[in-house]
Amino acid sequence: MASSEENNFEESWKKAFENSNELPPTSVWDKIEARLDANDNRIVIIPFWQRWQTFASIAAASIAVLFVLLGDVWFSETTPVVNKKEMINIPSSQKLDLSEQVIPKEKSIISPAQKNEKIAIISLKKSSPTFSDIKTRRNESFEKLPLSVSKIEKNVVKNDPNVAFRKKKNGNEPATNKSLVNTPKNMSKPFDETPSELVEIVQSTDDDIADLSILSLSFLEIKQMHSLIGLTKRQPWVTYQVVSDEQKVTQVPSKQYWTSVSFLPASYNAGVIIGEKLSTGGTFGAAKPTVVYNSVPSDARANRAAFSYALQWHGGVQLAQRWSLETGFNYLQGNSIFEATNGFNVFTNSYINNLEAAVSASDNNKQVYSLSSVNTDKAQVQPLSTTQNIDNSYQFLQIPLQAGYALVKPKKKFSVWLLGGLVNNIFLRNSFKSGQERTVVLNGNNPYQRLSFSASSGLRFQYKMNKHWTSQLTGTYQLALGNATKQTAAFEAYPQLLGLGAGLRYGF
Amino acid sequence: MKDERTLVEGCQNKDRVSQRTLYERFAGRMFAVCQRYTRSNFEAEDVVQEGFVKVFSQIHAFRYDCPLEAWIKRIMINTAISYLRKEKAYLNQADIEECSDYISDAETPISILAYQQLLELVRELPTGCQSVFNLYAIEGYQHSEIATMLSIAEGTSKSQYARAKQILQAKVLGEQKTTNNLNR
Repeated sequence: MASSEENNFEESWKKAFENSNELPPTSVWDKIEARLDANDNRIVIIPFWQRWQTFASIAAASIAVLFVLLGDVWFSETTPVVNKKEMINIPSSQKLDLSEQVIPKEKSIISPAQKNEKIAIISLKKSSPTFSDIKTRRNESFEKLPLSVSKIEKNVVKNDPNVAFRKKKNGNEPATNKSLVNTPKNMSKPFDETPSELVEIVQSTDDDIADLSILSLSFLEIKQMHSLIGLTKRQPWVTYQVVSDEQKVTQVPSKQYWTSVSFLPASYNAGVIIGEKLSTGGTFGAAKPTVVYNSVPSDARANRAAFSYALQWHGGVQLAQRWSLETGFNYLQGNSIFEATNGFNVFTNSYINNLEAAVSASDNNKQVYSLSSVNTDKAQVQPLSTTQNIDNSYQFLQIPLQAGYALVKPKKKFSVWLLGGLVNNIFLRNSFKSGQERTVVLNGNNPYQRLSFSASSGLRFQYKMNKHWTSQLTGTYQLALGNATKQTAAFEAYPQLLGLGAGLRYGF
Repeated sequence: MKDERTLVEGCQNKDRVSQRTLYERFAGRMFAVCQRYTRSNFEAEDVVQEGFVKVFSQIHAFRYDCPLEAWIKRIMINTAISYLRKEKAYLNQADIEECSDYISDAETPISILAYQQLLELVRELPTGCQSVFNLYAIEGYQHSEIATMLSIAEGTSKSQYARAKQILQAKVLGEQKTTNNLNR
């Protein structure tokens, strides 16, 4: 086909539609107006929950974030911050040096307009307008604000060479973009304030410049993005964001938050000791060893660990390259075996064991068994020379709070963390077999403390599978910090746990 | 009548009167553009509505470096393409090998047809062909640009245009014969 014919085809169609004009129905404007009204009144809410599929996930994530934030706040409060008054407290002699070195006194001229600009900066800092605030203020012109901000920036830098001086002095450059804030070499119109005032101005304007630069950068990004729509060049689907090398270099790695679930098979030893209080003059100091407490007081050797497990759900934050902080919830099913001494209750004509007796005798100092005639023929409980292994099980809700230190830096996929911290054990339930092979369940009124503490330590191996998901293998050892039973109890318990858990972690 | 700059500034300040004025000034031409990219007037109304909402929300980005009408038209076309993309209109588009044989060399006398007839012919094109035809023949984009805009291969754009051209030529000739028969 000849190119002229081809052009004729296109030209004729183009000409046919060139000045076409057909008014849409009036309802279209009504709908547009309604949309505009809705947009003006809309409150912007970040729909973070859209990423979550179920309510359970939302609840779990919310609790994790809450704990992590609490830990973060605690950590940030205990972390030393840069003292802003450091500059103000410079001895007066040094302040004089500063002004003399950088600003010759005879050149100290400042115009009223420049003073006004500095006042404007400080007031802008006080009002702290965020980008989102400005974005939502649709009645204001977007054009004016970034222009005025950049103008103020330039003027401040032009008129305040101390900003540059302070950067060098502290070795700590504010987050200004040099491409935006150009400092001409010949601009050195200093202030005529006293040195102390000068230092304060340097302090305030430096911080302000950092804030304002971020603000104007955001506006520039918006400008670049939106200006594409109006470009005459026909590339409407190409968008870009300019990230300068300096910005890339000055990017500080932010804190990384994560949540994890894991399953921890473990061996749990309840560490029940019966008779210690008796022999040391405790609750039942007047009494002597009986079958209730066993003629030979039991010790930790009477306990054996059994297979247990914990379901763990944790949330944490990586505070620095090597440090992390985490908390969460563990549901612990702790099973252990207690080698109990049997006895016979002559009053009730029933068999008992010393664990049952100790628990019963611990009921708020109300003795179930009479101890007045121990070791006599008239004793209520007659000891038997037999023993029995009793399954002694516990359920705890644990809230750990532990810090992590990276032994192997998490630069690559593999990392190793040393963990240490405190575990809050909330007692839920205890059950064991009585002498009559009945299962005794203790959950409300029981000799165990509702809240006890354990020290926790561990070693965690992590393998980062992709951007978000990490698998982890954690060895954990928990040791009770003190007796887990109440003061009124006739026995003591020092539980321990040793386990190796595997889990998955999701990084945000 | 307000000049263009005053009108834009009014819209930037969210002045409803200015917005209404701008809408009334350009609604007719923009609706005609949207009609070409859609299959019905209902769809065209939706696109115009969405397009003008975008215009008013993005008006602060207008830099006066091109005519306001061209800027608005560009938004309308982009909105129309987005609309069609949501409707998955660009799926299963044929490539150039299938359609290259259908290109006709015949000159098409479209001047004998009225605007509404031509519009209907364009609207009867398959969706992919319709967009490519509008972008290439009416708006003057290159096939490489169209390929980027529609997220299709450049060859597909060429084949779609060839197919659209062949269909339109056939239909225009058919209409011409019908008109001639009626005149006799």
